Amino acid sequence: MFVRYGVRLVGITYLALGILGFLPIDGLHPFHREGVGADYLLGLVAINWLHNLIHLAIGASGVWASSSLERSRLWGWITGVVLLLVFAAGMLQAALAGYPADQLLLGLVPLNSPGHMLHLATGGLALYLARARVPTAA
Amino acid sequence: MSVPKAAGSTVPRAVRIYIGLVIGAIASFGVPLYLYPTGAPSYWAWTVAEPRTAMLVGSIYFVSTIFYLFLYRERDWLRVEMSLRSLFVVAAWLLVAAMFHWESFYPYRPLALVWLASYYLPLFFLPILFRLQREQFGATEAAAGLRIGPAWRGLLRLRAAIFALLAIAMFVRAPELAPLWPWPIEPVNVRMLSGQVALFGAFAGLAMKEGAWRRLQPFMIITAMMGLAHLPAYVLPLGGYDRSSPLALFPVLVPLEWLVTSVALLAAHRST
Repeated sequence: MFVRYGVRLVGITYLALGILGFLPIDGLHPFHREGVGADYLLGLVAINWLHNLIHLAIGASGVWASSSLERSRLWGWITGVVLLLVFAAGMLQAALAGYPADQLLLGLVPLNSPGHMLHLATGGLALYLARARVPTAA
Repeated sequence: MSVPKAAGSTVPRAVRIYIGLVIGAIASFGVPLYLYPTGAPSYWAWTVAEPRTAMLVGSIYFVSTIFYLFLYRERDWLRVEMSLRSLFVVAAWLLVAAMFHWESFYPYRPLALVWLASYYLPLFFLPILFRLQREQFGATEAAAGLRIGPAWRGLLRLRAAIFALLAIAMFVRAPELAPLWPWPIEPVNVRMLSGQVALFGAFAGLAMKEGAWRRLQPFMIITAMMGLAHLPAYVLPLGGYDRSSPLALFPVLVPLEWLVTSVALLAAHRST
């Protein structure tokens, strides 16, 4: 059903982002010397090894959770809230720092605006999946 | 929790809510870019130096805002489906363009943030909404109603192939094509405009599928609107236009073709 399908889709996407971030191909995540010195995954999202690990964890847990509706909804709640909190914290930190090209959240995880908006979009989607009503058959 | 299917409509409520979000986002891009293109350098998400470029980039958002306002009330999924698929195609195309040109973006301008979110979302959300629609309403019957004739289908396939090649060439060779453009344009904007060529030129070839006119009709309406929306950019005094440029005719001929083909197709099938 579509809730499990959605959780699996988001999970696979994050898993793919995590894997792409670890692949030793510079073209997939060019290094940006300016700013905090992060790789930009697919030219957009600031990452480092820890950020990649987090993507892998979100992805693997999503794929696992998609095996049942209850787990999918729980995953949606947890992931949605966490991603939206990370979005809010990242935007607040960026605002306080005068909107730099990229930043280090908690001194560990590089973030930038494509990353913030990815967290917002997928966090909102995860919460939607957690709350979505299941349709009756036609 | 369960929700019964709405009587008479095959469009889930979640799709309507999503279309509402789309309207909000694209209106915020299209209205300023299309109606106030000279101010684009101060507010737009990425570098757009020339007002003509801003107007052309904005035309897709401006026209889509009007189109999606009508689509919001549509009850036939078959007619909504193609427009949503086209949204997926254009979102993927322009996001890839953004990957090549992130340095041209103003990362924290409000419209850049909205642009990013509204281009990520369809890639995740549309497949989920399509699945939801199938689960709620089952397979949609496409056989009923007028069919697109074989001659038109042949023409649509031919133009789809030509426009697909043009769009790919524009995307791949953007840095080489930009200096040949009839007005000063940045490679990022050649790539962004290639998305319009891919969508309104090539996508109809996919959109006709089994030939049901009611599926293709909304897409041809927006194609005609796009053709029309481009033309003021060449009539209004929006900066110089080098008529001796090797590509002088190209930017004008493309929207003219969209307009002529779609109006002819709509006229030929006007009985529905």
